[in-house]
Amino acid sequence: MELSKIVESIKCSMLYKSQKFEEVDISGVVVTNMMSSVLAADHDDFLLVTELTSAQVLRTADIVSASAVLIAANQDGITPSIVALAKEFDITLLSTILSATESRHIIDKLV
Amino acid sequence: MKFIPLAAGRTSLIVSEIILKLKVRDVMQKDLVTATENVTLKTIQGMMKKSGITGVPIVRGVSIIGIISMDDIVNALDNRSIDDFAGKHMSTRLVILEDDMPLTLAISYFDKFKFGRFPVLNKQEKLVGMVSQGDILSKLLFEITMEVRALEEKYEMPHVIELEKTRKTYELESHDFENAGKASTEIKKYMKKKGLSSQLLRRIAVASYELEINVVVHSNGGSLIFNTEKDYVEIIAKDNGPGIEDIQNAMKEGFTTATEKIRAYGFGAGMGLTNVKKVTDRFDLRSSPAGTIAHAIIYITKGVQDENK
Repeated sequence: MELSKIVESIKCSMLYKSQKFEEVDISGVVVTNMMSSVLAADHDDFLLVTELTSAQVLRTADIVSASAVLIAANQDGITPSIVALAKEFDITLLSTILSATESRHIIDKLV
Repeated sequence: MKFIPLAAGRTSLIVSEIILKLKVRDVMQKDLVTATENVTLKTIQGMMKKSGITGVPIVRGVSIIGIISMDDIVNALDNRSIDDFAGKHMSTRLVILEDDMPLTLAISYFDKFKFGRFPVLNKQEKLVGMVSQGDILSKLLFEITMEVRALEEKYEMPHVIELEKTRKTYELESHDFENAGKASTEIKKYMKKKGLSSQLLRRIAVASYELEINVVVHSNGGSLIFNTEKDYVEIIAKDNGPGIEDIQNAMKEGFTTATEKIRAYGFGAGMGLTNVKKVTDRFDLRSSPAGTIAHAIIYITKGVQDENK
């Protein structure tokens, strides 16, 4: 599924757009607040949806080569350093005020 | 020129499949250089030189009526008839291929007629291309390359890679959540340049990251040591205590001693050590109140991996 489709459906903010944004084909979605769950998942090219706002989210996403990160239930907790990490790793960073569950529900309807 | 033999016993399955699926239109040259019968051989000689070709179809409208080959030009130079018109010297004994003819049949024509090239007509008998032995070989080479690439991607062929010996040490501070994972990011970046498969790279990155986070989250601080040898990488996480009380329990999925504060950072799910064991070829853990040493090895080549499992 094209990432642009997800962005449009969830009406999220794009905090950083990866250089590979147009080519990315999302194979799945991982919804979790536990980074070890992300590391245990055997997926490539997925969208990580989490309500955590920490540098570790981006570092974990880079370790497993996630295509994009959506920070859900965001109340302006995303610092410039987190955006800088998204840029360093060239991972699309999105944010939404919707909860992770609501976001997942919308994405599931797209499939 | 020797062609790829079509006898099933001497041709690989992949090559046979490629040849069988191709038609003449898939290999022919479509940008044609043609001439009319009133053009001189000298002009045609110039056309051949400019375009790097050895045969020029002679056409009347859209229909082919003959061919001037390089041999015709050489003969004309010998006989001092290079200023004659093409119509006087062109070969009219034409063997034509059809554009939807199977390539296998076209290949047999080269053997049978000993011509260097054939004109190609479509169903409306319009000249649409020329095909030479070189055109066929180029196309086959291209198709074979694509096929091999697709197979390599599908089966992630193990790279025959030998790493150079390196050692990197990263100091880790207890509860430094801002920088936790930085060492593993650098390790991944470093190993990415070595041409490893994406699967191997992921395993190394995950093992390194989990061990690094463990030191930051659960210990009084320590270090992450990353060694590369010819055919394996070694990751050692050493810390300064307080040690793991029950190693057996610690290796169970879901077992955690993490506080709420730690969980707020996304850690403490109790999966770290099990993740490391899953992605490494060798993993052992030794611990005392003075400190813990986690030692992991990932083999780079599949053969070595299999021997040591």
